[in-house]
Amino acid sequence: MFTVKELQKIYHFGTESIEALQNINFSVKRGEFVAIIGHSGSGKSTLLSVMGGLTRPTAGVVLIEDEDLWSKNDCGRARIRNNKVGFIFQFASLIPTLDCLGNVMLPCLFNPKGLQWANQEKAQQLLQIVGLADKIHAYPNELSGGQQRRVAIARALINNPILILADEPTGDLDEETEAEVMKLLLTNIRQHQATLIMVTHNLHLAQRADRVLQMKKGKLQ
Amino acid sequence: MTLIGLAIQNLLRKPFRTYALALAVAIAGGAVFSTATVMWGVERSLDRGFSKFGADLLVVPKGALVGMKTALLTGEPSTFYMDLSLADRLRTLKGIRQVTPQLFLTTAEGSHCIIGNAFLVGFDPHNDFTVLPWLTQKLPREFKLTDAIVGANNPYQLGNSVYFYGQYFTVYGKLDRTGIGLYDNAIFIQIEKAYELAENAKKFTDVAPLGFAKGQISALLVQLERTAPVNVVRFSISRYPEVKVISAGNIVTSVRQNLAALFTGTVFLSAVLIIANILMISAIFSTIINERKKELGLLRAIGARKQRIFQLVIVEASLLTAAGGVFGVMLGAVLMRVYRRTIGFHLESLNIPFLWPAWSDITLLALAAITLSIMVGIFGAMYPAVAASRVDPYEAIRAGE
Repeated sequence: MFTVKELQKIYHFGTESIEALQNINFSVKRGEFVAIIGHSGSGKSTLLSVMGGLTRPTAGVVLIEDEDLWSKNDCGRARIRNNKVGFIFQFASLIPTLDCLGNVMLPCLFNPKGLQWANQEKAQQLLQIVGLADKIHAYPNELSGGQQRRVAIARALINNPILILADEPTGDLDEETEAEVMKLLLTNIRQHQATLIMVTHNLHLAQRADRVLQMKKGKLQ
Repeated sequence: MTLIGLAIQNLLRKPFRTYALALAVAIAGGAVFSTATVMWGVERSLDRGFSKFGADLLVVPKGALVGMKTALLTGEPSTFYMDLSLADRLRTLKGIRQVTPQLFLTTAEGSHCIIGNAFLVGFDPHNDFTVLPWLTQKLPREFKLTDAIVGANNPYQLGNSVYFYGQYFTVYGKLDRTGIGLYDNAIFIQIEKAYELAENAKKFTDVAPLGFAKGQISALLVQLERTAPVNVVRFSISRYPEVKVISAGNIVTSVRQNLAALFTGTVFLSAVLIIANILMISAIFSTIINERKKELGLLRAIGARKQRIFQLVIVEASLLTAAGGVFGVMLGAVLMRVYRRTIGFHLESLNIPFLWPAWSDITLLALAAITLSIMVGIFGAMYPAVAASRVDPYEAIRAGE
């Protein structure tokens, strides 16, 4: 279970204050796919960032399987991000000096258990699942946008996360590739019984979600 | 893949920038290594030369004070003389253990000597305690009146003949290198023979007479009893109005003063280079962090702690400066090897004795220079690394979108 309680985020710019998130409350069950929609500046991305332990909220609680994310120190939050959360960003965000295998294995580098042979096997399996078995040693600049996004999905899944946070994961892709990537993502989410929370502008994509949350001026409608 | 592997790949991303930075560090590291090696060599020379020198005090004729220091350091003879009988008088003083005389004379250029301006020293082998301890090579027989012992800088080999003032001498022995100019450059003969040469010189019409008479000497080298206070004995000797007393420590101080004058500039330059390198690393790594903000944000998002990001930047800078340090040490070693004779000659011309440090010391200095280079990387990257660890991950990832 993933729960957000009375979440608030206020940004201060000199004497001015902007309330980016106002009293956000919701819960998501394991295996559920939730889409968050809203206009630009409505607070969707800030919400995703707070839920993922990247931006500290002004108030409120984020519970990932009963673990209070923001009561932890940096080390504890990093561990949760590494073990329980998988991020997929709007742009692929791959490390250009690492090949596909290196990029997929990257989260394992920050795992307390360290890199293990099993990680490499798993990364290869994931690349096979996302249809890039023949591109294991290709570098990001040798891949198309869709292929890069598949690598990012494989990377998000490497540590078996229970929560996947996706921020416009198909934003820059054509319709065909978008459908392919979404199919891949949803298949893997269902298979691993992970929760997917996706921020998107795309209503067509949102329709495929189990639940749609709409944000407006920092509030859930 | 490890953190070090990731750092290496980051460095290889822009090879020109990496190589240029490493070269700048190499220049500073090489300068520090070379300066330290030469300074160490001078210190070693002072320590080795004057600790084994054996004499605590030098008693010289009044007026020969400066000349004597020069004589000891470079082997340029002094032409002031005093009476040998002073040696016996000094032996009666309390606190003095041994006294040995030395007589300095130059050879003449021309048909009466086979070499140009050699520095001849007459010494008394029967009560010597400063020359013979350096004798490492010698013929398997007693030291005779017609024998000579040569300093390490002389080209002669054992058994060679040398010719001074119409007299042949057999090279009986060769001294180990001392770092004291007097001992390294001189040819030692028995003092009695030196008086004979002075008599011979008078017979040659084309040679200026040697400026001393039988029974005159250039210096008395004095060794004190172990417990004797140097200043008290020095004061006792100073009561003889015709002499001046120099302590071996004074000579070391004088050399150190020369050394300080010579090396202040070099040490200052090295310090400036190191500080400039720290600032340069700091500025360039700040740029690098800015360029890679998005990636750093991503690393944080996938589970990197702030500390790991800090480590990544520090490791990257340390690897770069370590490589620069290693290259600098190699560069310094090659340049010192190529210019080794020039360095020795230049220092000796400045009255600074010099011996190359032992290999073990050079290795230590090389390691110290590489460590210093690594420290340059760590200090230089400290601020950018802290800034990198404080990057707001989500802001960084979304930058430019």
